[in-house]
Amino acid sequence: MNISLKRSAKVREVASEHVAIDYLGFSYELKGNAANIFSKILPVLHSGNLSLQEITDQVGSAKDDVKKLLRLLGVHDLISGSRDPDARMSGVEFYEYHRKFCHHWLKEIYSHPFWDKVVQGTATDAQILGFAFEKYHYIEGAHEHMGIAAANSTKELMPHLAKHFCEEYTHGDIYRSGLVQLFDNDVVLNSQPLPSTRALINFLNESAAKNSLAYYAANEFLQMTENEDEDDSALNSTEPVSSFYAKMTEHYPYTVPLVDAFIRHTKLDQQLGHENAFFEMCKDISPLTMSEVHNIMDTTRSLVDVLKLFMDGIDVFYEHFPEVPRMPSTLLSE
Amino acid sequence: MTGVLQQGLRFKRHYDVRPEDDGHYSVQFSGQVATLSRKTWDAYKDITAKAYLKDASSDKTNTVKSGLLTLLGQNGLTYRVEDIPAAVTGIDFHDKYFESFLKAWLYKAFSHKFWDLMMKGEGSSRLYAGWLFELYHYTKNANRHMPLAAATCSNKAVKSLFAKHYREEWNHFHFFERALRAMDFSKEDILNSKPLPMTMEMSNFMREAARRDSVAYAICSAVLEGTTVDRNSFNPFYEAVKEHYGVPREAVQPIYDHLDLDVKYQHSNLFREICEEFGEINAQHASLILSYGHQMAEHIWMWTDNIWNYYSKSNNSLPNKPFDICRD
Repeated sequence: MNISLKRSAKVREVASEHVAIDYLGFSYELKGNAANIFSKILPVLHSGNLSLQEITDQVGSAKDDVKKLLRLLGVHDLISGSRDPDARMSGVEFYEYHRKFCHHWLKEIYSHPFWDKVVQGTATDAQILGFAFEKYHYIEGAHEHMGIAAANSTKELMPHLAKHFCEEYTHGDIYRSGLVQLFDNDVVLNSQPLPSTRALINFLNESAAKNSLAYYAANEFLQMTENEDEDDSALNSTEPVSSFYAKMTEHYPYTVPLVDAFIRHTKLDQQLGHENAFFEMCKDISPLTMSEVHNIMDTTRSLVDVLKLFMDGIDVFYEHFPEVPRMPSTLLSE
Repeated sequence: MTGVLQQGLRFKRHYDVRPEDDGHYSVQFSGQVATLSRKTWDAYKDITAKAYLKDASSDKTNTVKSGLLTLLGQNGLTYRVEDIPAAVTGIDFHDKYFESFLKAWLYKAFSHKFWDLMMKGEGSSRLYAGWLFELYHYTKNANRHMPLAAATCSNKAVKSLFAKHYREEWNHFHFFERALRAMDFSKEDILNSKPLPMTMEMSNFMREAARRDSVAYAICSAVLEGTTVDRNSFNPFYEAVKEHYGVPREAVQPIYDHLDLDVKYQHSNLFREICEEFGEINAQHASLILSYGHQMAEHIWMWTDNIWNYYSKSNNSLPNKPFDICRD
């Protein structure tokens, strides 16, 4: 079997006799000879084209040291390994496994350049108003995907998905209550989401119809963006959510009613205790095969990518096409 | 109801603006160009940006703007809601409305910097390969929406046209597979690759349209087919990638073969045949259909941006790969 460095592992520093690696929230350091060997085999570990034997052959004299280093990396799960295809993962084990990756992936959302533009006051009015409209469409989209999820649910998950729909389907109205302070209700209701926002909603719709647990695991990632403690959910390492909204209203005073709605929604979500819903769900499921774990994790990873796309859309689409709100076409509009 | 809207006025959608040497601005609408002075252009930008805001409804604001609105109206940049036809025939819908809008929509769809930079030699063979991968998935994903459109259609004649279209298209992904093989990607690389999120959305949006309304689905398909009929617009792109990035001829020829086949099947005429089946399309239905068409053009722009954004970063995997329990 070919050996590679885990794709989620990031080599933060490579220096003489010192290497630092980050993997899923943990930091690892190699010193001395181990660091030097690691630096030497790093290109091979990135490509993942060689087996243990081929790597040791390539390094030459220090075969035993290479084997020792790879064993050490393996113990800390830093290099690819094989999994017993017949192995099973309990629901609670899966919950922990999924959560570990989600925490890591959240950073990709929080480091999106759009947040910084808002904090610095360099975002345009179209981007700011567009952000409010897209958040509304995304939350209103819960009506679609949570409904589809409940309607296509497995027996075990139906009570969870039904409850979630009943608690969430009106949340778009909270965002709308902010927007109608600035725009007529009909305008808000008839406005159209960006393609990237439709991508997020449609992705959830399709997942909801296919696999209840995969859908909910992906949804859990979205929930984490709302429910994380303030210290954890910093939009970057120093900027917690409340301070982000304070900056937003400072630079864009007209957003006060919009931000009020955002905060009301976040608080309501936190009161509903949705942060525990996925754990409760995982406790109820039968142990998962590795193939099931693979499918569910890939769905969550895809959701991360589509959420990044959602942010890209607000950032780049409104920069190039600053039309807000986005109204439907008519026979005379084009 | 806000100021401008209160007067029953709406702004036409503009697609491009160019400052001219004489200080005027050429504003491109579908089928017409308006020439505005700088002052009028600035006022136009301001009034359109605020058109839907509630605080634009004060009487004072309306008075100030009434002269400008008259001027814009004279230049054909506004229209009255009461002038929207209550209904049009299917053929008129196609010939008088869709045909004249399509050019502007495609202009918007292909206005992304990707095309210009690739043509100028500021792209890369990596970007071309990434673009091929996404086209491969997009074409393969026709199997996710074309049969669904046929399955959900309630009009027998249209259902048959959808079915025939699917029969002719379902396996066309092999053209892109051939092109990728010519760029040294293995069969395994191609089969195990994962589409970018916006590539998935192209087919998800078509699935959404198919479930909602057959003509809305058909117009999305027509916008996409509209990208394949004009050899003069796409040939220079493929010739440029061969010249600038050393892309082998074998990685381009299958694309030409695919486009030729589309022309042979006359897929670009399909939407007209579908529209012919409808004696009348009312204003509300027309709005729904046109909104899908316009959004499809915007989808193409966003899809291009997603491809550009992902594949221009050398640390992103090419091809894009799914989560792997052993390797992540």
